[in-house]
Amino acid sequence: MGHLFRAELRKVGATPVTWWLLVSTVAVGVLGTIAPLIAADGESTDLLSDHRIREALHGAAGGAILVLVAGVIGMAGEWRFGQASQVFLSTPRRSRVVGVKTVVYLGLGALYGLVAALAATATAWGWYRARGLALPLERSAVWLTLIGCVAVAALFGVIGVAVGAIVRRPVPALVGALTWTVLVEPALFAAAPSVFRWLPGVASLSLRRQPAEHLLPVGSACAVLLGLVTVALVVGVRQVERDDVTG
Amino acid sequence: MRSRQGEIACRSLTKVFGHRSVVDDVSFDVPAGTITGFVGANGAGKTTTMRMLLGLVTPSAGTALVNGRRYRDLEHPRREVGAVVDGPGAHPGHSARTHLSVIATAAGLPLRRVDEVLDLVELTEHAQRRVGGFSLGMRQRLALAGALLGDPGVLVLDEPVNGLDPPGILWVRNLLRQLAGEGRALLVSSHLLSELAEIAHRVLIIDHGRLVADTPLDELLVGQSVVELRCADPAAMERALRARRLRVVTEGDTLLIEGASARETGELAAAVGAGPVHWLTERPNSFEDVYFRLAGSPIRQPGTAADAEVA
Repeated sequence: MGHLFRAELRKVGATPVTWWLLVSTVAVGVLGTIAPLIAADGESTDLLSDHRIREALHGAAGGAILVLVAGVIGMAGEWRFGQASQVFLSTPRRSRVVGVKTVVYLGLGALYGLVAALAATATAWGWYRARGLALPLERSAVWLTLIGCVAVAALFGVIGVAVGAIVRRPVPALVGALTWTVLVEPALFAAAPSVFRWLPGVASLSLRRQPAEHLLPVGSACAVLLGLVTVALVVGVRQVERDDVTG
Repeated sequence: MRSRQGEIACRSLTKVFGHRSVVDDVSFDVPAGTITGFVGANGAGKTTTMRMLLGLVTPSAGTALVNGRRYRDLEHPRREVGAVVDGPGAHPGHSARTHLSVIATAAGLPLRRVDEVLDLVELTEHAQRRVGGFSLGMRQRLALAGALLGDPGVLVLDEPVNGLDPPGILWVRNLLRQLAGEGRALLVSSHLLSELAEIAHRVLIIDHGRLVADTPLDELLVGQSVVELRCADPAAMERALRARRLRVVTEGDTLLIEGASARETGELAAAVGAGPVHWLTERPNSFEDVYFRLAGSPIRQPGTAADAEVA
C-alpha cells in the first residue's frame, strides 16, 4: 500500500490541473470573502458580529467545490486516457486503488481547505484593518467556521473520488456533481428546507457554520455527510471491482 | 537484462458481453522462450483474450494463468508480466519520465529502471517532454518501456508495432527476438501478418471468438501452396475447379487455386478446354494466405478479389 500511496502522490503532484485548481481555490477564497463584506459595506450592521464574521469567512468554502472537481478528475480521469489499465496492471486489487485515492484526496481536500481558509482569513483581516478594526481571531466564530470549511473540503475530496468511481467518465461525472451541488440542492432546500436539509451539500453548510436557518445541528450534519460518503464509496468500489476495463 | 522465464496457459477461456460471445472456449499455451503471434480481424477477440489474461476483463468461464496463477493473485505482477494494451496509458500532461516513475513506484520497482528502459526504447532525450506531444511511434515506445519496467518473464503485447516507422518495426523485431532468447514468453498480437511471420515461433489465429489455429508457424505453412493460372476461358476453368471442390479465387484475370498442383491444374485446363494457358505457376502459400483461408476471409484485400470458394 505504501508504494501505491507514493505513486498516487507523485501522480497528483505531476498533474497540472491539481495546481490550477489550488490557485483557483485562493481566488475563490478571496472573492468569496470580499463579496459579502462589500455587500455589507453600506449597511449599518456590526462588522464584528458573529453573523457577519461567519458570512465573510465562509468564502473559504470555495475550496470544497474545487476539491470535489479534483476528486472526480483524479478517479474518473483514470478512464479517460487509458491510465486505468496501467493502474490495475500494477495493482490488480482495485479496491486498494480506490482506498489509496480516498486517503490522498482526503488529504488534498484538507490542503485546499486550509489554503482557502488562509486566503479568506488574510482577506478579511486586510478588509477589517482598512476600516480600523481588528479581525477577532480568538473568537470561536472565526476558527469554527474555518475548521468547518477545511473539514468539508476534505470530505468533498472523498465525495469526488466516490462519484468518479461510480460514473468513471469525467465529463458526465463533473457536470452531474456540479449541477447537483450548485443548482439542484440549493433549489430543493429553498423549496422545502426542513425536508432537504438532509442533502449532503446542505448538510455541509451547517458543518462550515454558514449563517442560515433550518440547517441541521453540526453533529447531525457531520453524521449525514460521513454516512453518505461511506455509502458512495462502497458503491464506487463495487463498481470499479466488478466492471471490465475495456479501454 | 538477466535471464527471465515465464509462461502463459489459457483453458476454455470464454467471455460473453450481454448476449454476444466475444471469446468462445479458447485454450492455448505460450511456453517460455517463445514468441506466439496472435492474429485475428478487428473484433475477433484478441484484445479481450489478452485483457482477460491481464485481469482487466473478468472471464465468463475458463481460466487464464500466468506462471500458474491468475494475474490478480500474482504477488508482484509487474515483475512477472509486462503488457502493452491500448498505448502507454499515460496522462497527456505528464512527462515520459513521470509516467514511468508513477508505474515504477506503484509496482515497488527501483526508479533507476525508469532511466534504463527509457534508454532501451531510445526515448531518453524526450524523457522530460509531455506525452501529449508524442507521436504515435513515440507513444508505442513508451508503452513498451512501461511493459519492460519490471524486467518480466512474460510479455503480453497488443499491437506493439502499431504506428512505428520501418526502422522502429525492425527495432521491435530485434528486441522481441532478444527477449524470447532470454527465456521469456511473449504473446504478440499484430495486424501486420508479415511482421509476425518474421518473428513468431507459434501462431494463434482467432476468428469470431474461436481459435481456428494453434500451431508452430513452420507447420502452418508446410504443404501449403497457391497455383496462379491465366487462361483463355477462366469461367470454364472456375466451374471445373468448383466441381472438384477446390478453393478458387479470381483476382483480375488470374485464378488463385488451393489444393491442386500446377501439373494437375494444367491438365485440368486442357481437359475442360479452357486453354490455351497463358500463365501457370505454383508459389508457396504466405502466412497471409493461410490466415485468410483459416479465418474465412478472402485471400486478398476485400474488394480486390471475389471469393469463389465452393460451399
